[in-house]
Amino acid sequence: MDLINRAGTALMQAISEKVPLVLILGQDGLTDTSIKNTIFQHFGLDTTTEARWSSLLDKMPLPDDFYLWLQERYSRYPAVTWATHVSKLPWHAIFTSSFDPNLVSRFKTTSRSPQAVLTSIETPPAFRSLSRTPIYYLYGKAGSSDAVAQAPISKPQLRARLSKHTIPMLNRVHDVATAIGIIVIDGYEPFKDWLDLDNILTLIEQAPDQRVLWFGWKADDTDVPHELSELVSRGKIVVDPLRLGEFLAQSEVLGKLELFATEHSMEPNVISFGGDRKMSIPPELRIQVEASCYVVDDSWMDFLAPLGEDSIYNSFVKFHGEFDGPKGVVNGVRRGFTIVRDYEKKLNDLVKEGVENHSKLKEPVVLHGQSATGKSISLARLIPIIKEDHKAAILYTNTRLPLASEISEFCELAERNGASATLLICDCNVSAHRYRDLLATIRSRGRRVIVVGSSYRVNDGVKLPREFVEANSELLPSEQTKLVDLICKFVGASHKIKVGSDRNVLATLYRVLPSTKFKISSGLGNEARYTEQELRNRSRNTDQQNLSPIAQQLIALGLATNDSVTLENRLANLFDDRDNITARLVDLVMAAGQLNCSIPLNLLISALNLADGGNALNIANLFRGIDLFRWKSSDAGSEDILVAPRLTLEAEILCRRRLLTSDAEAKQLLFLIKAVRSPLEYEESGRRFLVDLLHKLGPDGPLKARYSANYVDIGRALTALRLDNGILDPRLMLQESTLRRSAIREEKVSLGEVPAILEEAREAVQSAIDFLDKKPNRVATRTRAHLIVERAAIFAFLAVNESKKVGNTETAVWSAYMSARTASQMAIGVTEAYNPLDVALWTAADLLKQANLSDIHKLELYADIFSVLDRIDPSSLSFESQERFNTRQFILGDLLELPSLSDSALQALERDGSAAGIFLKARQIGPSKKNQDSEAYNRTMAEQASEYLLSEWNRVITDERCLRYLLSCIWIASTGQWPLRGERQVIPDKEARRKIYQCLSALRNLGCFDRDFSLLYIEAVFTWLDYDEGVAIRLWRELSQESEYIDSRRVVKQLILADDHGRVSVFSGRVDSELAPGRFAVLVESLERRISVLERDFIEQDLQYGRTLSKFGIAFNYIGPIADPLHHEVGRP
Amino acid sequence: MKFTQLHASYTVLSEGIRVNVARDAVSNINVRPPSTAENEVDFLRLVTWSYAVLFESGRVSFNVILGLPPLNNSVLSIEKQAKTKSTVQKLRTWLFHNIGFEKDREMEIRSEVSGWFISCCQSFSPNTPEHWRMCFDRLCDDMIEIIEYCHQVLAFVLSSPIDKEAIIATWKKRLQRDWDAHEFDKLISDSALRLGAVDFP
Repeated sequence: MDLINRAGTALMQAISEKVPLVLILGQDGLTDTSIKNTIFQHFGLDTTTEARWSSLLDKMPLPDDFYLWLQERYSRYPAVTWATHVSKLPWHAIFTSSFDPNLVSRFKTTSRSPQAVLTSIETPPAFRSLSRTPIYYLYGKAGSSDAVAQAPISKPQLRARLSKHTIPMLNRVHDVATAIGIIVIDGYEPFKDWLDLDNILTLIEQAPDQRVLWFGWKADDTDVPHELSELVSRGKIVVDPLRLGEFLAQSEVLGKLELFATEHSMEPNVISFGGDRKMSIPPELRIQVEASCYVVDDSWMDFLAPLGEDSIYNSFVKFHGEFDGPKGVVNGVRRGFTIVRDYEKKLNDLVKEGVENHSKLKEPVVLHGQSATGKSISLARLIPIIKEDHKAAILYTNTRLPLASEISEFCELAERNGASATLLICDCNVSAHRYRDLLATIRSRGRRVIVVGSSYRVNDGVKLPREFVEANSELLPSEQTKLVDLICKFVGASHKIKVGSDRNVLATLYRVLPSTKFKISSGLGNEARYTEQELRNRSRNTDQQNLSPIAQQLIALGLATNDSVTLENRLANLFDDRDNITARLVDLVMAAGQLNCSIPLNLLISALNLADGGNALNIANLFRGIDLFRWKSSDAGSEDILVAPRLTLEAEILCRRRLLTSDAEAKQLLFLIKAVRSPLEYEESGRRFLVDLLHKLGPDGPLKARYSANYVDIGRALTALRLDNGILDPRLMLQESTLRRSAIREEKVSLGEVPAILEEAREAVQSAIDFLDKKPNRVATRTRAHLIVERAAIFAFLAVNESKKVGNTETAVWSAYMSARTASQMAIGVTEAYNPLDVALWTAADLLKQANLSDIHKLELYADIFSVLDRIDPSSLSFESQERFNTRQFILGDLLELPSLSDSALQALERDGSAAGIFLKARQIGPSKKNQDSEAYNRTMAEQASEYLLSEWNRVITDERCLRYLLSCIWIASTGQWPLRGERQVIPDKEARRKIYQCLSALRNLGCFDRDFSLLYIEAVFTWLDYDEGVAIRLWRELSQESEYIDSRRVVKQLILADDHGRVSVFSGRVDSELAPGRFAVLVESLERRISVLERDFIEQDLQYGRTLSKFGIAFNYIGPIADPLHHEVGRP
Repeated sequence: MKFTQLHASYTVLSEGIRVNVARDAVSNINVRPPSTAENEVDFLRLVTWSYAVLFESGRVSFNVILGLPPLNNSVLSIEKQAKTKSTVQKLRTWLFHNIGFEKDREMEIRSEVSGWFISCCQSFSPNTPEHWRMCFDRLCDDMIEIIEYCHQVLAFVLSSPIDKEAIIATWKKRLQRDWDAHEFDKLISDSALRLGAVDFP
């Protein structure tokens, strides 16, 4: 008796292939007949003849408290023993007509936290997920008190529920399963369930053949309608008479249950650190983190069982075919399936340095280079190298960048358990600034993190930080030798093989290896086998010592190549004789693939404009038929199924060959963008993909401005998504604007069209800002900041454009400039990035050079330029921003010289009510960043400038530029340093603080505090020192909340208490409470103030309630006063 | 001695189950109980006795009781009881089987047992009377907790007019399905004979 029948075989295969698995669970759910019998007895129904859920429909209306009563029943009955087996299968989603509230806990495992979905208007955290599996209660859940989600008690309610929730939820089944998934029906009996058979038939008819498995099928049931029986006999549905639980229980008896086990059902492992410290990850935290990246626990370094020769070769081929997930890649690296490229030494050294002390790496470590240069392998190799030392926790992602909020808790837990830092490896191939943003955001929370990421090649001529490592395209002779050794070792070739030096060689390797994986002829496979056999025959007939058949083939097929021609021909041969659908599919995948964007499967099918299930089946089969695509999960929870080319290089080659021009490529990308037809589709699969795609096709992407001629069309396609399809995402709206503006900057738009396009951009940005203002969201704070910066840039464009117009008036130009200035000022305050400062500079500079303005206005522009320059601290800029700033200074040229100020000009400004003249005059007297004079000279100049400004206080008080400069001069006069430059700087003396406080009050009245964290920071510190501790704490609380996730300076100790000679003051205090795990409050009696202490800063002292902490300094960050362990030098006045 | 309290509590529970469910719902425990709480031998006997309660004489019944949804939605108590069962099973395996270090499962057992000892007596390998007494008391406490939880659940079931019958029916069905391994031998021989495999051993 073959108990592992076709349905079981299909289920087993689906699990091994990791395709989406969707369960449709009938009303019997995971219970036996006891509950049903109790219910029917309650209604006086005969439990033998009338024991069907549908009988309850005749009893409607049901009592008001029926579902509460039902909930009680469910809460009292034991679980059936086979329920455990069913719950452990890797379900991606469950749709059920059962009311059982215990289903959520029944399906809960250590790696799965199910989410109940009761209505069609709810958006679950994930539409399909192994870890956050949604359970769709089609008819509601017993015991739910939500009026909208309640189960129906009357027929009208039932009808309403059916149309509003049941059918819409059921309509998601195919989207969740995708064209390659499996739908399992269990516990459903036609006509005995509330779920109508017609609904089930609809689902089956839409599914590809043999993708629906029906367990518990009763072949001799006379009630089964003919059309359903026909579907079974046609093979549309695969059936089994046993319920799924019974089937699995029998498999267990036969010892075959492990065939249905998955990695995901294993217990989560621990992470070990040095000194025998271990971290056990709580399941909920693991699920949260694994929504975006893999947690590298100790199981990633499990013992690798030795393999026989054939197995080794198969594993080698599979590894190079990119069929394995991240763990498979790491295992392949550990087995030595790859060569170690020379650049990896620098990469490893940098990462190890960061693991020892994360603060030594100011920037993320960026491995940049062209495609197919081994970047992914190098990053994967970091895992065993770093894991060996047991110092850092490791997270890994190869799809999307995680949000700081998703991993921050994990990093904190790791640190508390002994990790020196968390190493976040991102093989995402995005621009360096995105890694920098992520690093800054995580570090703003005080986390010790090192970010290592892959990126496309950064252009020559740019001075790169030391944290950048280039993966060079050419193979060095030593690397070529290693590749020969590798091939000899695993393929059995001889050392007479030659390999080329081009990066195409690494990509070609897989294509020339005979593969046993694909049964369908793929040209290469057949050719390889034929050639091999021929060669074997020939070699038998000669005395010649031949190279092995494979070795000869490798030579014949061009592994010695120094270009991509061989690879190109190989790829083209794979599908030359295929139909249009295939060709279109290839074009879509490759156009996105060359930007390193993987397409969600559902979106891909939607883009191909498929209408029926038959064609969807073709798509599903294509993945098995053509060795060009790979599909993979978006994360450990398998929330999305993504389709991508095997390598970005292959995508580039195919695009070059098939699409030829950037316009043709852009057309494919537009198909994909327009494929998102509804907000639901967008949430389900489009969001991450579109955001990633738009970043990468833009000017900051790997292909730079390749698609600049299409930016306006793409921007308008996004606008159509928003206005016509109701897809409201501020990040997309930001892109609507940046793409249009980039098109203008690249001069792809005629002058006449510019105002209209800028207005479209402005509308998009303003709509996004308004949208975010209505729904405040901490996670979207950075997006809001970007939007405000973008708005500033648009206004700046408008102002400059106004100045270029023929027949413009000074009034119109100046009005446009004032709008731009206001927008820039706001933008400068919401982000620490250099962008808005640059916008402010070039706007004023362009107007000075181009516009015909009066002297007064010109002086105002000069004043604005110098005021902005004062706010730039070049040492805190990223290398890219520094480059831009240096370029900007070069362009500004002689505008950097202070203009001469005639008395008449000053009087004119005074009459106009402007303080620009006072500011410029003060600048002439006082210090500037440009002047690297001696400290003493700077102090003298600062004193003189501040005296002058204070003498004009009545006018200074209304001008932000003057106030800021006055604050700086007072600070410099007291300390010899510009304010807030670097770390652990001394604080001005009390008299200086009093004057600075006046400036702060005036700035606050001008509204400057809303857009400058540093002002609030200074106020908090001074208030704590000189006034009220309670008020200071409130100020810090506000500052800490506002700057979280935005400002990387948040945890930097910019100021420290020191004596008059600049020596750091040393304190001692008593620990009087624990504020949070690893954070304590210490009472400093000499100051009568409390400060925070971080346990990790004082590892050698056992911090506990009542203990004395001695010899520490008091520093200040955006969170408050904090004990400093005095390991560092302080900036002396 | 705590074992006295434990034994009394168990006796009351098993009587309650036998009276209200089935006579054979719980079988007699015939292993020698601990006589004191002072040494290693007593601890070994306690482990054996506890194993017999949870996994032999009352296997089906305890599975039914502990498989019911938790009282008052107290998921923590269910998890605690599951942990106790697991601890007893692992202690018994570790004490009475020759497990090695090669297999993951063996290492897992060793690690959990060692961790349990440390949590009881701060030693990974108890070797003084004080250590054994602490381990003995801890195991007694856990077993008392699990038995008393079962008391509460049984009382709850028996006092429920609506659910009692159905739950007891399920309980009895499970008891009927529970056959010892040796009971299949005769069936297999019989089936083989019918199939004509006369030489089937």
